[in-house]
Amino acid sequence: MSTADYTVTTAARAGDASARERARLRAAVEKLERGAVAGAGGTDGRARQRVALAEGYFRLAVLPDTDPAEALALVQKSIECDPFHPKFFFHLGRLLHRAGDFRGAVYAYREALKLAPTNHRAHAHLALALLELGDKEKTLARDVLKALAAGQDPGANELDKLNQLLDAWRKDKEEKPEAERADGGKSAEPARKGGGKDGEPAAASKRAAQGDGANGSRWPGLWRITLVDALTSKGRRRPDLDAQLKAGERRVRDGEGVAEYAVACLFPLLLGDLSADSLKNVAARLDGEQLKQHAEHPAVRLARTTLELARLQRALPEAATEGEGKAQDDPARAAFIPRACEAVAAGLLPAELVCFLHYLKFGPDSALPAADALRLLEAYAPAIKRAACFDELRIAVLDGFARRAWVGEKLDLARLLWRETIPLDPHRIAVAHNLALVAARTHARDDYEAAWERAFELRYLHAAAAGNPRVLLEDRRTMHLAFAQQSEQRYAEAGKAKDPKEREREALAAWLADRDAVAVWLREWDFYYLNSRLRFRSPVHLLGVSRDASGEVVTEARAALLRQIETLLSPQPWAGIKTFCALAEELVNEAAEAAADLTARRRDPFYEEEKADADALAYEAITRGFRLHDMLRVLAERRDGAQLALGAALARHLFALPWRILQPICAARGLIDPDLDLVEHFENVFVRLALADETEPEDERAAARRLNQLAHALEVLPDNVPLRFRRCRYLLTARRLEETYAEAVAAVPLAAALPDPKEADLYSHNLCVMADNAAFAAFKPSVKKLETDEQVERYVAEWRAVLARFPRAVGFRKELAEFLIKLGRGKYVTAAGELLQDGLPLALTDEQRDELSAMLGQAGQQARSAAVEDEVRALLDGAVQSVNGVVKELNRDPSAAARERARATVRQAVADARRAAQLAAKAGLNEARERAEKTVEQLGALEQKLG
Amino acid sequence: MFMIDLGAQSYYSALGVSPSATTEEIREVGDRLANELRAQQRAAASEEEKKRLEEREAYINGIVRELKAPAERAKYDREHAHVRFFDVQPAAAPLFTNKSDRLYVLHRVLGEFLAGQGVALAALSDLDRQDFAQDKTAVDLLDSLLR
Repeated sequence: MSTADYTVTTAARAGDASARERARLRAAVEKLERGAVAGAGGTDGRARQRVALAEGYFRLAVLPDTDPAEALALVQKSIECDPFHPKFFFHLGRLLHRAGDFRGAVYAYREALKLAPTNHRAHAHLALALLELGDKEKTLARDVLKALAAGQDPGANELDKLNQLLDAWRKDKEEKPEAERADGGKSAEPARKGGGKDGEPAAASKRAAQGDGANGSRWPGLWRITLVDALTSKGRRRPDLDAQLKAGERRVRDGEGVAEYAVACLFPLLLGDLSADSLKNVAARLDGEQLKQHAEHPAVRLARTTLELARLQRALPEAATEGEGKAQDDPARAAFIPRACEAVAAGLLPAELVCFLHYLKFGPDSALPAADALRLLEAYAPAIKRAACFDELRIAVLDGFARRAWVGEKLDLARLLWRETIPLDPHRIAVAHNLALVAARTHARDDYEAAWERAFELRYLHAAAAGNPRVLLEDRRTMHLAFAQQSEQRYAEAGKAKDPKEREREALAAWLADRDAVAVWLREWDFYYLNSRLRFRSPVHLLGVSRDASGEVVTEARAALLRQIETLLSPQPWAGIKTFCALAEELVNEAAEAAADLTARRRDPFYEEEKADADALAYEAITRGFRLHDMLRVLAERRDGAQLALGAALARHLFALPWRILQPICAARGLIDPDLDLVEHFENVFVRLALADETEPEDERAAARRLNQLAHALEVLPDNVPLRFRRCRYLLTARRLEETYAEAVAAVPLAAALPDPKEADLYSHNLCVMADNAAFAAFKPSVKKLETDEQVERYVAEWRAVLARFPRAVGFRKELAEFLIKLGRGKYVTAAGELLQDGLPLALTDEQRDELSAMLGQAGQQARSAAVEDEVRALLDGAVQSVNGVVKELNRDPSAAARERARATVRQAVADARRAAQLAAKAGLNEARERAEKTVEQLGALEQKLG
Repeated sequence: MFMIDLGAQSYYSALGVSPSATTEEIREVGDRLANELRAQQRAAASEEEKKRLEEREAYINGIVRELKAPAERAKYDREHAHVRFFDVQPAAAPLFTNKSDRLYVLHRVLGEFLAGQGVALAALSDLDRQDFAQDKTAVDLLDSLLR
């Protein structure tokens, strides 16, 4: 089995073992949590159970592959179960320390020291955390380390100083919001410096304090961290280094720590100091008495080989390098690369160390030109070139020269070199970022957008790949904020007026004139806000609600965040964005679930810690909202419908802010009148902008244009009645009659629901009129004269056809019914009644329904009269026709028999006419009555004449 | 098209330093600029010119004062994120570019390398350690469940 195979198998076995251990521990912890173990009853039993649970959580936390956030939560659970064991506090401090929360770590280490005051390990790590902070903290750290190095326990004096510091921090926290403190202290993601791997301990924390050299500490690692500090502190002193190394050497003499000491001798080289002096000192230590006895120790061999390589001056043997002058006598000067290849092949050095030394000696900081430096890399053996670290070396060389080119304004070269790194690692954020900067600096319109999109994309892609939206979160926040701020500040000084308000108005107007800049601000700030929310670990802060928020508010906040993820992030064409969205949604849902549990909400360990940041974010949101409001007002002043698209964009972002949560904050801070409904106020401002142009469109084309503009506003406030009514007006002018009618019909219920009854009545009425007007405008009868029944019938049919298209145009319907009634015939009047009856369920308002009902009653009466009139007419017509018939017959045949028949007919006709007159009189149909009476009179005269 | 402006006016550009400049660098540049401005004031041709230079000096001093105070500088940087963000970032691994990180990265590399040769190299501190087996405490109730 090869070494590589052995390593892989061992790692796999280790991973399996860890997974098995985790599973066993989880099962045991679950049993303990349920109390499902023997002996868990009674006071003693419960105490034993809690101690066992604390240890179970702890063991899970310190498993090598436990996620840092989970480990932190587990250790906190351990402390809840058993608050008297110092190791839980120590590991809490360690985890906070690794996460970059140095103040949190100091508090935790102090708790550990309260329980175990003589624990040098806790003291040393406390000192490491303090070294990450301010000058006072560093001084205290050094005092602590000095005491430890002297083999003493830090005394009451140091602990008093620590307590004073903690008091000062507390005071600082009370007086200043978190965001205003210098150190920032608490980061949402693991502390990362210089792009180190996630979870890498913060670099500065590894610098230890200066000791006096005597290493009598009970914690064996002390001498090396103090050595590192001595090497990295400003104004380092040789005696300090020697003192620390002597401490290491003593341990070798005592028979332990050979590897630690041999490697520590290399520290100056590993820190990059390849000066002759440094090499000489390292050589002297490696040649020292203690290590001579361990010459074959792998660590000693490694150290000697490293030193040997570090001393070599030339990368390649002289003959292999072109143009390097005359031959050198010292063969070592021509041999770095071949010797390095040999050392790696012989298992004396790791390839990473070779790459590092190569970079120091022949990288961008050497005197080599870029092309030569890149060519040298090709001289390595294939085995080394295949190593991952060799790709890193190539990238480092390319990047180093690219940055030099950037500084020297050789932007094309910088672009070329950075692009060369892409095949080696297509996902490197810094490369995408730098290429985007090149595009910006060269104003390369073709490259700019794509380059920045890539820089954005990668920052989300990395988080998606890590399965954690909080990875690179601070970087993304800064990125989005940087764009938003640059847009905002570009026109900040654009106002020239003396009056500050006017000056600000001018600046806003100038900004608004740059649509692209505004669009960037709108978009980027929302991205910033969303990322800022996701950074909170406290569920209520993540959701942006108060601690006592109702369930309804929590649900609303959750929905708002999910909506933002859906509308802002999801549409981005970036690789991995769907995964990122899913992860972000999961975070939001988990927060909502946790916030729904009131007990968990009260116990929220992050609430207080994150409150200042949450308040600051809320204030930023308020400031953003007021800025958007001011922009809308500036636009409204222009009374220009063409601004509506921009106004709608502003309004959309304005209404997306959580005003239900922000409004009470505004009122509490005295920013608004407590009675003011901010959303209503903003809506009014926006509607004023949307309706600012009150003139009627001159023609259909102008109306169509206005409709397009108004559509933007309606997208934002689709149920706003004044906007809907305005749309009806424009639709009517544009002669889009069906749409006018449909819009009016749809808007009437919205109008009826307006809180002000007068306004509700007015808009309802006007919208009904709009529906009618659409129908009337559609009625273009082809019949011009109504002289014959056929013409009347056609006319009515055309009217009915229009009514079928606009059935709820009640005014139009009434008009037709009135026309039919006026025709007076029974069938028309009946038809009018049916028309009105059909219209009742279609009425848009109660007012219309009442009108239809009243008219229907009137039509019924009319119908009855019309029936009488028809009967009267029939009697009279019958009488007249029969008389005319007998008169004609009498003229042809003047015989006595004919005369007698005529007399009988006329008598009957008179009787019919009299009956008609009586019917008409009874029905109050005076005209018909008069006509009947006249007929009676005329027929009576004829009857007399006939004898 | 809206493009970011890498030369946007900022406290740093007013001083002519990089946004990542150290406090010491800022102090040095501030002192140099103030000295130059004072020399120009002495040689100013008019009162108006002198007043302008005095105002400029006060402005520079104000900037330096603010950037020298860590809390105020952090606040300024936060409120002007673009100033720092729109700067070239090192694309190389921290091993090559970050002096304070490299020792720890290399130490870990050497530890893994020596482990492959059967040699244990102790971590520099518990912040670098993975194995905390020795921190376990024997607890009968738990251990009985694990057996």
